[in-house]
Amino acid sequence: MKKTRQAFLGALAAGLTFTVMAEEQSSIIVTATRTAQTVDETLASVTVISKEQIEQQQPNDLLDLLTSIRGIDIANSGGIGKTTDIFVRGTSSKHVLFMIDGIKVGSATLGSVAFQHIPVSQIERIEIVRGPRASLYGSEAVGGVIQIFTKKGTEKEQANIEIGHGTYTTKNITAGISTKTDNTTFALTASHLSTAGFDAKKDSETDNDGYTNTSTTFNINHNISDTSSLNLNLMRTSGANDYDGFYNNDKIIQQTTGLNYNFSALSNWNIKLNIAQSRDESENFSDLTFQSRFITVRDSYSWQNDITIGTGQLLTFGIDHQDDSVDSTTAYDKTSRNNTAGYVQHQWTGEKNDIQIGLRNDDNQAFGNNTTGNIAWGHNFSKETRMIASYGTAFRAPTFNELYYPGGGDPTLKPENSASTEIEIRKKHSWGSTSVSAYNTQIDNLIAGWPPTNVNKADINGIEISVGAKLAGWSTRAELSLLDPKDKDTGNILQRRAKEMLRVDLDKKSGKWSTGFSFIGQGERYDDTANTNKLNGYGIVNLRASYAISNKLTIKMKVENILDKEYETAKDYNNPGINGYVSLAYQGF
Amino acid sequence: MKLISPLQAFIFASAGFHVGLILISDSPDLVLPGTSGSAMSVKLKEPIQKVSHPITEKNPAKKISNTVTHTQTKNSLAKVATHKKEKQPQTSSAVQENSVSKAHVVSIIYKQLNNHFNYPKIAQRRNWQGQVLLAFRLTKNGNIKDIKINHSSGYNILDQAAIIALQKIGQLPQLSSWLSSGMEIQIPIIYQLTEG
Repeated sequence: MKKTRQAFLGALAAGLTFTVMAEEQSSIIVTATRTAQTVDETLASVTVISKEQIEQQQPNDLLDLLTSIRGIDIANSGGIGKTTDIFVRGTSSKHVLFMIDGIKVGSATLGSVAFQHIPVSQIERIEIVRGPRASLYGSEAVGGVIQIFTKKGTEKEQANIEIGHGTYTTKNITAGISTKTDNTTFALTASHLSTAGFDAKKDSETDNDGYTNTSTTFNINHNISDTSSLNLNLMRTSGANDYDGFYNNDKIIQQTTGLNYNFSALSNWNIKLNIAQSRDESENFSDLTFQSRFITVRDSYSWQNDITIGTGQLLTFGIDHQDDSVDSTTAYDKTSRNNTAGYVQHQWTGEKNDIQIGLRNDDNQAFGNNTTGNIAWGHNFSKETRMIASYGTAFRAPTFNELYYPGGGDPTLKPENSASTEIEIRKKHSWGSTSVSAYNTQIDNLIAGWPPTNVNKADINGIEISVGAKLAGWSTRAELSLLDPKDKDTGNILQRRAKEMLRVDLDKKSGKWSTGFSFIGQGERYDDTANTNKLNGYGIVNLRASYAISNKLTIKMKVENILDKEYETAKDYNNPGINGYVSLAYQGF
Repeated sequence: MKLISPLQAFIFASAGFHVGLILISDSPDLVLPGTSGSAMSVKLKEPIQKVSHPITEKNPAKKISNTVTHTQTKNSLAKVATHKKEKQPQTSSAVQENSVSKAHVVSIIYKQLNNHFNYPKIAQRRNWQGQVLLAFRLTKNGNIKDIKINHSSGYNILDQAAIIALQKIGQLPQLSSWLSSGMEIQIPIIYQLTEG
């Protein structure tokens, strides 16, 4: 608390005269909405999925939320929890950087993220960044970055429980508590999901392939002072999966732990220190007989500095260090490697123009130095019209499998390199907003074949259009992606990428009712690089509704794939037919 | 926290008059969190004016308040100036008038200021929030002078943005008819991010 005193006495002329001056006590509140934390959304193509949107959509997994969002294509192999590929702007599933509460996740042996296990019931917010961000985050941020924020402590003490049941004997229970004292917020959420599933693959194994997932997240934040805080995040997920094929069961554990300390060294110099660990474990079984184990542990240490100059410039620089190690039943030629990076970024923010430049060098034990850069320019033609132009380079470090797998891994492999150019026009209208972007991504040294070599090249061109509007009480969002993801040598369409995607979400809240529907449509795709196995395009419609029984109790229901379309996003792998789900949610104390 | 005492009193007597006595009380009125307003009370020997302003703050955790008491004897001639040594002779009828008009002046200032403050984009992006205690002097002609930070938000960028906003306003000439003298004003500016 502050103590101030100020008194001003006017002059007293002859007789009795004076003026009293005193300070005013009322406050002027200047507010703005919280923006994306991952990158500057005024200079990059970003989609934020808010808590409200997540609640509205009633998703059972992360795929439900991400599918066909502009730039995002998903190929699933047999339902919830099954192996899933995510292609951001036509790049591969190794070209997207996933972060949970700022911590990089994924398997160092596969190079991809089993994001199908991330528990959607514990997510507060998702930020999707399209385009390369390697100059800030390093390896993998080629096609884009997806950052997940888990539930944080709330202003009010609060408990929530949600229980649901649906088709395929899908059951979910989520419970959480959240509280706040003077300077500390705290949240704990736990969930358990199980599903009997359906037959994952059209083959001789015609059983239902189930899945269970048990997850816990914990977050505590303590404000030491106005400008310093300490934050601890923990997420742990364990899952068990049935598949078809030789390896037909697996068990997984994903865990992230992070400790952050933010403080001001000077009033224009803020420092973020972070220590984190992410673990990715999988055990594979054949008819319940143990076959193999892969454990990836990533320890990371980072130091980020933000220096402001006046009100319009921000200089960011820092150091990242990461130690990757692999513990496996497979005898890798090498089981650890480290990477140290230094980066600097400068941003000018003006009335009409914003410019950002960034540079980063990664020094990797496996392949040496790799420098990436990024430049972006934002220009306001008017209050309603904004243009963004950007260019960025990115890379993907070869995985442990590619480098060190016994009898094939090639330790001389180079990283895959990319360069992307993008232009976007955003317009605000009286009824909503629109955005149109066009991009090109060139990727060289793509690793393919076995033994793997840096052989392929890709050339991806795309256009994305999004329209957001409020019409007659309906909040409407339409996202269209058109792309041409090509192998540069053969001219073939890259494996499993659709060339057209459309997603339309309509939601309306009226009184105690909330209703909505989604249309998700995708064009045809090829299951193989030779483009001989074509998978047809499809379109599905999902319906949802919720009713507030009281201010603490809500009943939610949804019917997905209401037209009962049969479709495949990976050859011979089934997707759910028409299915329903009902849940009851309590929130209060 | 910083204790600000910009009072520099110059007291002198004219021939035949004795020096006036000025007492400044330093006991702040505490406004408890949860109260929906804050009070400024100005205690005069006569009349007594209490001016309070409604406040729109959602999270009134931080409040600044104090009481300024002035006592003087009749027949005194005291000349008191701020650190800028501004002198504002008044007529006795201005006592009441000035106290009343102050509320009006302040409400106009707030209206003006509210339109001019922007959240610095960089701070918005970095999730920086805080409270700046801004002080300035409003001259008799409605010019904004001597802008300074009495308490920093901890973020230079927020402090600077508040100063720049005030500098941009520059003057409030429409107030001059209400101002019989200059005024020292201190305003907390709260930069707050909301979920969008």
